[in-house]
Amino acid sequence: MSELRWNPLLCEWVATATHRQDRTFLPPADFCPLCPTAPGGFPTEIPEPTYDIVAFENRFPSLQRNPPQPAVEGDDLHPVEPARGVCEVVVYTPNHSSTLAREPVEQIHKLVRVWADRFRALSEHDFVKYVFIFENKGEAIGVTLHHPHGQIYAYPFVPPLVARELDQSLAHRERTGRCLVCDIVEGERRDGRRVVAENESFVAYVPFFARYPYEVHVSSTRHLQSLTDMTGGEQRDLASAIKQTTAAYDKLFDLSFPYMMVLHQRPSDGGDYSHYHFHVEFYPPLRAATKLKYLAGSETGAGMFINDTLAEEKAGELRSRVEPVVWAGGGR
Amino acid sequence: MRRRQITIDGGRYLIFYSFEDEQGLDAAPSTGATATRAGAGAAGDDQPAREPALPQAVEPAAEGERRV
Repeated sequence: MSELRWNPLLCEWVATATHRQDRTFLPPADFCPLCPTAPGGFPTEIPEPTYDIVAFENRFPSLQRNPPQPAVEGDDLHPVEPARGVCEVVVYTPNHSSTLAREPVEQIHKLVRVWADRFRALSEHDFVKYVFIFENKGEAIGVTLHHPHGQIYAYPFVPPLVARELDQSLAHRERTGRCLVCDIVEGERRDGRRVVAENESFVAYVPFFARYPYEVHVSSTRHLQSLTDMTGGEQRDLASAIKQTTAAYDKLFDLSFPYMMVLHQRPSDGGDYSHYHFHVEFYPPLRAATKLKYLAGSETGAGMFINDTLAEEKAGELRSRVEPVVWAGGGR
Repeated sequence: MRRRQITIDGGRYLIFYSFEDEQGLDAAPSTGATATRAGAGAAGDDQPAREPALPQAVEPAAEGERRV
């Protein structure tokens, strides 16, 4: 059963997707559904002996192109809608034991281009209003498959957190005439204490207002709204910034660092979002090598995050682990 | 970048992305901070990146395929 149920208290949709209870959960490595299908071997989701990057519709989607009718009736207070949308899985590499941080920057560059292609393609559906690209990494986040992969949800509405950023960005522009994220990036670069890494087109920083101890935002230095606005050089520089950030995470505690990575882009509903600014956000759940940052009462029940650390100190720790990105054959 | 789309069980699509036609794409040395580079910048690093809108061939899934 699957449907969208309206929460009138928070003014947001909740997707019910009971079929996801049965999804594949931490299978052994030799039964990974995201590995290539070896000749004569276990048939996985990907029916070929190798691949570079693949994207496919999720077998256990929260949103579907042709969703079933809702199982319950709504009313004025509780509207119900079919859970229409698209859920894709993007598999980064055929190498089961790899991670984004361990992949060469050239592979991350390929991934950036695939993301741009999926953003473009999914945005063409008239029922899609927002394309959300993300990765959940690590059991601490709740991943059910270890094979390196991310996901894309094409929503039939603009999700609430992005809607808040859009509202604040518009208000800031109306008040100042400037872009909110441009001003944040300029301030972070001027201050410098929270900058983790920087290249020609992107800045990675622990924001002044970080909610998680090692939260990092990667923002473009040029004012642009989506992956499809980027030049070829900017796509390469985004790959470099992601490589440096994820590799620094791994070096921090000498472990494969768990995180949520989300891409915030403009909506796909045809509106004018020139006031918005593309950026990537990383939310790691660790506050120390063996300590989780729990989303407890204040965070979950009140929406107020309590960060037990100083952004300036955490940025310094990450910055000291950043290494130069080496492209095969040179170049940035 | 090339795409090849097939259909897998349940009528779901799966797209293979391949880049083998771009050997050496990332092997070009930088020619400077703002100068055009080879590779992804073949279309001009200062120009919006545009991937060709190739037709996506749809191939049926092999009979009897089982999925996880």
